[in-house]
Amino acid sequence: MKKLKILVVDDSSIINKKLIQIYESLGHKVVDTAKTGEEAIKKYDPNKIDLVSMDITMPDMDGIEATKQILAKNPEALVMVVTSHGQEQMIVSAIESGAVGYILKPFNKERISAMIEKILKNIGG
Amino acid sequence: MNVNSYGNGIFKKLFDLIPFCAYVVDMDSYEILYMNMKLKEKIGTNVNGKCYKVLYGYDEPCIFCKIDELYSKEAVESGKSVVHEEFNDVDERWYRLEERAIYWPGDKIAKYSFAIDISNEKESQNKLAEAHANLMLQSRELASKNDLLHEMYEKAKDMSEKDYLTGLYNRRYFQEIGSKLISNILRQRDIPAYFAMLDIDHFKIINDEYGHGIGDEVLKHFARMLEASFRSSDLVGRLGGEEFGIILINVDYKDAVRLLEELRQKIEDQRLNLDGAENIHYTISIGAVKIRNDEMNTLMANADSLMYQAKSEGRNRLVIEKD
Repeated sequence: MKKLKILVVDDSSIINKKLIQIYESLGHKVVDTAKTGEEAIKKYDPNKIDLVSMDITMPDMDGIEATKQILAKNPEALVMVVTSHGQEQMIVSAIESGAVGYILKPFNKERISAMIEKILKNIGG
Repeated sequence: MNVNSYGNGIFKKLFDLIPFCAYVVDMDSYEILYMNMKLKEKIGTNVNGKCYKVLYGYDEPCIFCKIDELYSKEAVESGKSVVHEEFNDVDERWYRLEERAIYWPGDKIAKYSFAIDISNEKESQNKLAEAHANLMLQSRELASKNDLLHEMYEKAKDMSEKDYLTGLYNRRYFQEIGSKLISNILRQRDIPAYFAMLDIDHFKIINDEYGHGIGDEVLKHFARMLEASFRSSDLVGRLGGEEFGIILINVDYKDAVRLLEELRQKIEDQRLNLDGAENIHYTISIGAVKIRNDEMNTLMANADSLMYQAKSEGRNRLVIEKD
């Protein structure tokens, strides 16, 4: 699988750490992190980042809004949402807003790998 | 032992019997005031600190914190309880939290919580959510593939019908549509129609003198003039190198003469300034026949002869079948 440059967005440092560990163990590189939706929007750069790992539940601006704003400026951006919500609506909203994939908690390395592969396949990468 | 601590002792004994986690938090300071045995087994006995840090590993109060909702005398008095489900990032389990405000020794209002592990129950819910999400992702993929297919179909259709350079209908499509048009016209009996063949005069000389790039621009220019001069109900096509065809619908002899003559004159008056060549000028020869009981091929052949007649008579003219 192609090695991706990932931006990890989550307001919890525990989760950030967990995700960095998982993504890097899959061979990807986490090039930056953000704690809020606004920070994520500021830090997103299509030349530096291949994939955004976006937590949905964050204070102030949530991940769905941040996803919408990133995609508004960069329609080709790949955003994968991270959620612990077992409620359908959150994931569905995220996909409706343009997310190309999702990860559920608790994290499962194989499933995360499979989701990333699926995303890459769909864009012909 | 005073009444308060005696009461507290019983409280604690009872809570230690509960088979799920129970704890009490100071709503002002977020400090944990009490943890039952079950919770102590989970996270250790010598744990102190803010509830959000100790229980959830957060640096700030939990985003789902219910302290604001419960922090009031009314909440205590009414015994209002709040129930919600949250995922714990530390132990990666789902909990149903049932929380209430209570009075606590030392004049405090505290929040006590029962945290019940519902991870197994959540798993089936999660599966449902995932199935829905996957369905959505798939249908989005299909939609975009569908869009792509549609786009490709339209492009392919266009390429099969139209001449690439001028955008006009190509010979094959012109004949196909033209035949249908002619059958309709003849069936209706009282719709007069004309078929005209138009040819750019001395086109080979233009190509030789100015190059094929300019030659192509002349063809494109003529195509635009044709489109501008006739209605969408008329049929216009590029039939060959410098040869074009028109089917004029609902025009009688007088109209046909007028329209075709106007076009001829307009072309004669044109001066083109193109990249690398100035004042390019060209003319056309036109042969036109009335559409009677005729097949497409016969019509085209007849119009063609009249067009050649126009050429031999000096070019830059219209030769039209007498009424």
